[in-house]
Amino acid sequence: MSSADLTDCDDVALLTRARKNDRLAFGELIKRHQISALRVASVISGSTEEAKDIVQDAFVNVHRKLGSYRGTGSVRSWMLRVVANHAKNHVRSRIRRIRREDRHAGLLLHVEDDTEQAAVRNMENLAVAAALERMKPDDREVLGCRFVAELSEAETAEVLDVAIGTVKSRTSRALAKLQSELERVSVKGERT
Amino acid sequence: MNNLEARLADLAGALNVDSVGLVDSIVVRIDQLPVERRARRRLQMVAAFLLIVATAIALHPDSRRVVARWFGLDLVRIERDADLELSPAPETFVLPGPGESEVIDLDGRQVLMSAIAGRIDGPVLQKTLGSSTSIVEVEVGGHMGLWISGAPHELLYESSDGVVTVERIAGNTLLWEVDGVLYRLEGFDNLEDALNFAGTRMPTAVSD
Repeated sequence: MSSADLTDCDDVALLTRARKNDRLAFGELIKRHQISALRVASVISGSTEEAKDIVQDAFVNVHRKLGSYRGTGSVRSWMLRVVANHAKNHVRSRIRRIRREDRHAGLLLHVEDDTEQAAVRNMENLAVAAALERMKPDDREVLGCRFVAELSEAETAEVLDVAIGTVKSRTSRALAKLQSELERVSVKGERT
Repeated sequence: MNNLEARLADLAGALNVDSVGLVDSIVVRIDQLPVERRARRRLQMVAAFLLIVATAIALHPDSRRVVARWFGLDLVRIERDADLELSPAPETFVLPGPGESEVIDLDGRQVLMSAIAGRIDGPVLQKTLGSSTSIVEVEVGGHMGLWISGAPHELLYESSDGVVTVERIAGNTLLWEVDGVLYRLEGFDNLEDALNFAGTRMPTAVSD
């Protein structure tokens, strides 16, 4: 089967082929979910630069664990759960590397063009990124999964290994905190 | 979707994530895995064999010393010894040489410092530790290190001549490697104190 034909396969079919050592099928799975994975890793780790390494390690681990997928959730959320766990471990490891001076670079953004409208959007995005970075990990994780990686509540629950009800309550609370943080910074900016 | 959710969605589109070459780099790493797996199987077999020997040693105390020496464990095994004479905390501490150990008295706290000829193999270590033990990568004076805490654990390391050795450690342990010598520090409750001691009190550890 060519790589073009693989695009017609669903995720479970690709995973089944990948278990039989089909590299093209596993590559197709990565292609489908790499952007979501990079976004999840970026938001949880707080670094777009480190996200690529995290995702690479996580997907190598996914390949090792292909046999452990039980089909209880989607392949995508199963893969992203591994990514999320790698990103959390990465953060814990970095926090405890207390003598290291290589601070992570944060969330880096595209600059679309040099129009005034693009500049305003960029400023808004920077403000949201900065506010996200200041939030607690639980809040950042749920907002990252729901609105940055654009996962459903059910997928977010699977990725973060919590109940859907927890996702709903955390999302509501985290959005309120984010709103409050953006307003606080905005007010502070107006005063200075 | 409310305004805030829309702003988060905008941020998603603006994130400068780099997927170029990701698939290729992952597939290349996966293709190297059979070699890693074979090496891991060999290490697991060695570890299993050593555990069997360790059990035999425990059951037959008379043979303990001979077999321990056979595996080089007499040089590196660290045990609490109530009769060991304590030395005061030095202003400038000289790291012990391979095979040496020293107990230091820090304001009533006994700290054990030892050195063996060996290297840290993070993945191997991780595989030998139970789930109730946590392992954190740290940096000690610019050198790679590991902080192992939680439940008593077995430490499996590879010496410079390729011999894999397993040891049982009861307390929190800071390990770091400098030029093929593996330093081990025990007796601290938390990582920060251990790093302070290792990094600040031992200037020879920070020089490359």
